[in-house]
Amino acid sequence: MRGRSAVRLVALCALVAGCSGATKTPFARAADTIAGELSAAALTIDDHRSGSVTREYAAATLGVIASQLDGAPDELRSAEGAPDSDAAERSASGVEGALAAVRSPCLDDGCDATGQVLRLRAVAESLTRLADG
Amino acid sequence: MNKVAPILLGILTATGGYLDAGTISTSSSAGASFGLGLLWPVLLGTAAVVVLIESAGRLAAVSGKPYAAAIRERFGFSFWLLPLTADLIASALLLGADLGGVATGIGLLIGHDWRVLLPVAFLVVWAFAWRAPFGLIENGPSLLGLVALSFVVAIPVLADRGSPELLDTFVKPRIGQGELASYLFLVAAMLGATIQPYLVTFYSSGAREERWTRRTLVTNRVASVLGMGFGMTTSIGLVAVCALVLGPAGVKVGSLPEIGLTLAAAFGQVGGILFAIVLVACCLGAGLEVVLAIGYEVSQGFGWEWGEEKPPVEAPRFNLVLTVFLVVALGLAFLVGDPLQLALLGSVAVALFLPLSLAPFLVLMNDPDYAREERNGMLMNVATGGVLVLAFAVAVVSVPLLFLSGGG
Repeated sequence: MRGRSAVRLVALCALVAGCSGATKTPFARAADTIAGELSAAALTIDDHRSGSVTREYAAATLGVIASQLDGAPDELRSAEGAPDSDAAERSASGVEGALAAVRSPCLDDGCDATGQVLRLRAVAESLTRLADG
Repeated sequence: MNKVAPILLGILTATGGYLDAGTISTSSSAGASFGLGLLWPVLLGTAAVVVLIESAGRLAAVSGKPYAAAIRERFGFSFWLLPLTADLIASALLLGADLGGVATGIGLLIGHDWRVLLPVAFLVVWAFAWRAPFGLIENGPSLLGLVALSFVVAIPVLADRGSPELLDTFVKPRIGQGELASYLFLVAAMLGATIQPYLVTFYSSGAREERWTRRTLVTNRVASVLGMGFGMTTSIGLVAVCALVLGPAGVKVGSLPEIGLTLAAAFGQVGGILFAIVLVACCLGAGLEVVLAIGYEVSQGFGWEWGEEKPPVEAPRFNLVLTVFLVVALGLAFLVGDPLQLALLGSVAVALFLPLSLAPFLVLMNDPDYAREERNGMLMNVATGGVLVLAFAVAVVSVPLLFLSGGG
């Protein structure tokens, strides 16, 4: 009986929290998380370009970020709560493009690090706008 | 007895226990997402952990028994299994996260994938736990962990990035639409990451390793306040630099290496190296504390020989427990594949089981057979009761919030 009451209490908390806007939709949460990772990737490449972090540090960090973003486009396509299916598809495509920069970051001379940083930031900002509704 | 040794034990407990993968993860997420709006759980958690650590040291010094042995003796074997089970689950997750933290730190220094370096991290922690004398375990990570003060030193360097709005978040947290569950989840996880039962087991067993007596009581008080104060200062520094650097850049801290970008912003390439050292030192210290705490807890409960000062052949089952537990944690680290996620899960697990681990304190510290004439006064009983109420509240809300927030 007590166990059942506890379950009801937790369910009620969840319902109240959900209805009162205490939580984000799964899509908004995914978009927010992915935006954060893309922003981290942009900051890392930018820091390396300006000489603030070593190549080793940047490579290791971007490797971790890339693995965090594995499956991110599919997550956006399938997450509930997207404004519409076009928005979900557009954001997923944007992330696919950005992922290329994370997986092959410009850490040497002769490539366009600034372009990568701008592209990553643009996708991150559009995802944040979607997440914030 | 050398009076510096207990203070070093306090600082080690703080370096390896207070500032571990869990605290690093939760404090940095808090700063990046909510500015200074989550400094209060750091202050509250520190006050709670000072109460517990001081009590654990006093109990060990006066009764001659560490916390786990006292629980086993006072409440019986069946009861002792409850906090043991809770500690085993939570500590396995935290140890996995700490192994991942050590591997990540080494990886950042040499530019390698942390997963490849996980076995190296395992071997380093195992070698220390297996053969290193307690003094080396105490001093090595303690001294290296002082590098964590870099987060505090970075604050004035980064101050020009601050704004009045950021300062306002200290008293009026900025919680956006749909972010309340994440905010509350981080509160629970930060308290879980700070009030760690293994700190109590480690500290009280360390007090026995160093043969504390009644004469050490004043030093115990100084060590618990200084040590935890050190941990709190670095944790506040971490929240602040993440609020100054990562928040404005839109970074939410999805992995450990991202946190080092804060020190890079302050000190350039040296900053990245400092962060890698902090990660290795703190996670190595914490990993050692967790694994030794589990070895102590199991051995003391079963009445086996235990002690880091003894050669493995004199305490074989103590050393076997260490090794098996490390292997389990290594498996978890490989399986989950994300130290930060493991650290958050570990912190939530700690929060969930906290009342089980800490409830015996109130009885033991008032029992004349254990605390003798050093029993809790009214003030310490109120403080310990307050910690238990806090632990219970955190335990009730932690899992629902984990699901509601999607893990922060």
